[in-house]
Amino acid sequence: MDIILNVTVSIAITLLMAAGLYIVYGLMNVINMAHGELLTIGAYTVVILTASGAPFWVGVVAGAAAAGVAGLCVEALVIRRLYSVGGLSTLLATWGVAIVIQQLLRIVFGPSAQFVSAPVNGTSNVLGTSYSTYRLLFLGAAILVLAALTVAFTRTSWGLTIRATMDGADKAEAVGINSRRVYMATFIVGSAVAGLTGALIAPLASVTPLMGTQYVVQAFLVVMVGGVGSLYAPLAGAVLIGGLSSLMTTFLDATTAQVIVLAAVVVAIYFRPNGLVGTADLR
Amino acid sequence: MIEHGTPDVTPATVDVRPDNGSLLKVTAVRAGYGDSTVLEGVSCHVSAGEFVALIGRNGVGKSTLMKAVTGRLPVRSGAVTWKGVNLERWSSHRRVRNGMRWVDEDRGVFPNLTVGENLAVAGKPLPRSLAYSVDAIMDNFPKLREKSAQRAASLSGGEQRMLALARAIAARPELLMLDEFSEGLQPSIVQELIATLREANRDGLGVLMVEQNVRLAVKYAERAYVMDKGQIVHEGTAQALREDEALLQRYLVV
Repeated sequence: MDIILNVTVSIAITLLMAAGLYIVYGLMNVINMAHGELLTIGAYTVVILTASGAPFWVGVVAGAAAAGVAGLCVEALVIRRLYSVGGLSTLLATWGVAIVIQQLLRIVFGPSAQFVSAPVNGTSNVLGTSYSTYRLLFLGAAILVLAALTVAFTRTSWGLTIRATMDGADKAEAVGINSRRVYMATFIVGSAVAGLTGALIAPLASVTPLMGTQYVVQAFLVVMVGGVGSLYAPLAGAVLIGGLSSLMTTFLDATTAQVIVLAAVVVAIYFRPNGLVGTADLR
Repeated sequence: MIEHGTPDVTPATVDVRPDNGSLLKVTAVRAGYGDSTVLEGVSCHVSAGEFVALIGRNGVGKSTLMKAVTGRLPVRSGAVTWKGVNLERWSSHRRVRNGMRWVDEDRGVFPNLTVGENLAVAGKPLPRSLAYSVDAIMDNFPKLREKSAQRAASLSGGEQRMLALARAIAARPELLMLDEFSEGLQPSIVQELIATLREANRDGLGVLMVEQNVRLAVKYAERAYVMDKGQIVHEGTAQALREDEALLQRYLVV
């Protein structure tokens, strides 16, 4: 039971992390190398606010908002200018942004790790096993956020406009959709989800200026392995990567587990170059 | 600043009849890609409710002109005006919201959205006065209702064009531009779609039909332009063109 819960939480973390990246990559074809740093911004927001006495959940909301604002700036100052060039230049430019954010955080907060205490302590009883209450809360919050995103994407007119733009900005413009605005809104939402993830992870991790990097690698793998074009794609990727790595670390040491996960990624991409579920071409 | 231009190119005269001014006016437009210039000073116009054909062989710049008019390719010199307003800095979606519509050669339907979603999403950005009901469109096109839950990518070429046309007309634009509308379609389907188009035209829709299929274009149009090597080489009534076998031979027979 413990293992099942650990694996589930690991999948949830990975999926939440990948969700923001997937939204941005799937829609805009922009590989945002600064995605991990948006997560870090969310985590530091919680650090600051809880240290000054604010309730944890206020920090979570503020973390999402802070990352959203940071995303707005990145989009307006960097990415928007590179839509016409695309591909590699956005990747390099956002990588530069990532380094700038890392160094700024380092200057302000120092390189050492900060910790956030969870809003709830202790354990709860789940079907006969005792399990960390915060991890359960985290799981619930993750499911809530992912469900909200799914509903927004598939059932609302906002989601319909985004999906249309995903099918081609040119076509969207031809029916009167302001594709630039859709891009911007989407990027803000993707960034806010990253910030939210960072804020929720903060009590489970040590908050450092470089923390985003470790999560973003997994998120990229999820998007690559899952593919784009289907909402189930990131889920499939997250189950493979988050699930497998959590399962493997239960039985093996961390390094061996990582090797096995990466091997699985290579095999998956070899046999399904467009992703396990995805339909669109990955470039 | 809004001024109503006359159908001819002289800017000094002002047409006072509001319903007879040029909707779209293209004046000496030059445009191209990279180092190459495709449009070498094209001038043409479409008035409200008019059915105009723009014909010419493959590769003479017809689609490039469409791109320049719809805001997807910068105009290097000359001007595109819409109801007298220079569109220089207008994005494509703004042109659409102001009454311009187009159906590209690739039909422009969203392949991963369902037929119903394709119809719904195109109605949203419109001003409230132009809002339409998806249900009403489907009443007119029973085939679309039948397939409303299917992905648009699963439709045949003819059905996709029907979807694109139904969607465009429902938005009640003032001008609809169609690029190679008949290409790859069975004649019977073309007839059906043309009938729909003509009905909308009778209700006041301006049409610019950009076609390689000359016989089709001049059959229904009132006026026609012939384009060759990035320039308009002939302008006249469609009827005159129908009868001018020499001209047709010279510019249009491949």
